[in-house]
Amino acid sequence: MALAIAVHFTITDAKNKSSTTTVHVPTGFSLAQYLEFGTAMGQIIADLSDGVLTGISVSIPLSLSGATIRAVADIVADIAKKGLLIAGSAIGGLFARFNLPTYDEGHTVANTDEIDMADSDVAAFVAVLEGGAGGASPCDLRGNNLTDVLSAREIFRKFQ
Amino acid sequence: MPIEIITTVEDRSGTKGSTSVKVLDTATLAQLNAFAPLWATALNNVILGKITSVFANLIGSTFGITGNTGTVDADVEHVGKFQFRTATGNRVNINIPALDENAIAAYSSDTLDEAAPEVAAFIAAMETGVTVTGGTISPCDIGEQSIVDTLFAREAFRNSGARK
Repeated sequence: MALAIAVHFTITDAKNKSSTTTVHVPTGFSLAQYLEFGTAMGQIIADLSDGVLTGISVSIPLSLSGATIRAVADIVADIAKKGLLIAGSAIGGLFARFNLPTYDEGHTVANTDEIDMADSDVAAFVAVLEGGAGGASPCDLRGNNLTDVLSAREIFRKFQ
Repeated sequence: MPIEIITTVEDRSGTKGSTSVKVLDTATLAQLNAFAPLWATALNNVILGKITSVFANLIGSTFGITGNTGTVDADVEHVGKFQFRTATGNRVNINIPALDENAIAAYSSDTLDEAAPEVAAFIAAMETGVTVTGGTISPCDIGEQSIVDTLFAREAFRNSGARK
């Protein structure tokens, strides 16, 4: 069974408090059609609310049926242990950051916190970031293509 | 605006975290579905957690929406509570925050006036769908069962909870 697509509408009131309501819609339409639905339904919801419609978003579950991923987290997997990668953008001075939860320290250069860019698994991941996959291309926040990974290291986040 | 791909990862203790990658908004849905397993496989090989989901998140536009101005007494804890039924009998609950008081049938009732234009338009959209270019998109439940009728529509209030 496919999971329905969620269209979220955020309403903000006079006290600047926000609340979100969700309408589910079926799969089988294009991204443009879902966005068009969002705006049209947004008008209907705005007419029914005394608040201000401040946000519309569409959340689409993507299929992992073709992915090779583990069924159970490794015994030492920990969300607080991350890989931090910074990639440069086609526009000089812009970049994108990636935090990878449960990073595998086995890909780290010995006696350093640098992620080993020569490692085959790391290289494959970096190739997806830099070159895209399946016709979709990673980009920075402003929609500029990523060019190359500038740095990659392991980090730890406070977790209580 | 770029499309955000959000991947959720679970560690051995069951704690969840997420990572996101933005992709160009020129991608089609088919391309996103092709990207997801390749991305997940590459990510899986550099982490130790279990990837539990990958979602694409698109930001819609409020441009062109008319009358989108709040009133001074708008409060998101005052909601319009709607319950719909699908063709297979499942219930679908939807709350409209900061309900417009004009939607209420009478002040001696908490039932919404389903003949009021704003309420009727929302119910019609939920039951029969919204026309978009090239088709009609009809709301459904999480399992894609179409909504077929309305069980009730009334005003309700949420608990404010603790104030900060």
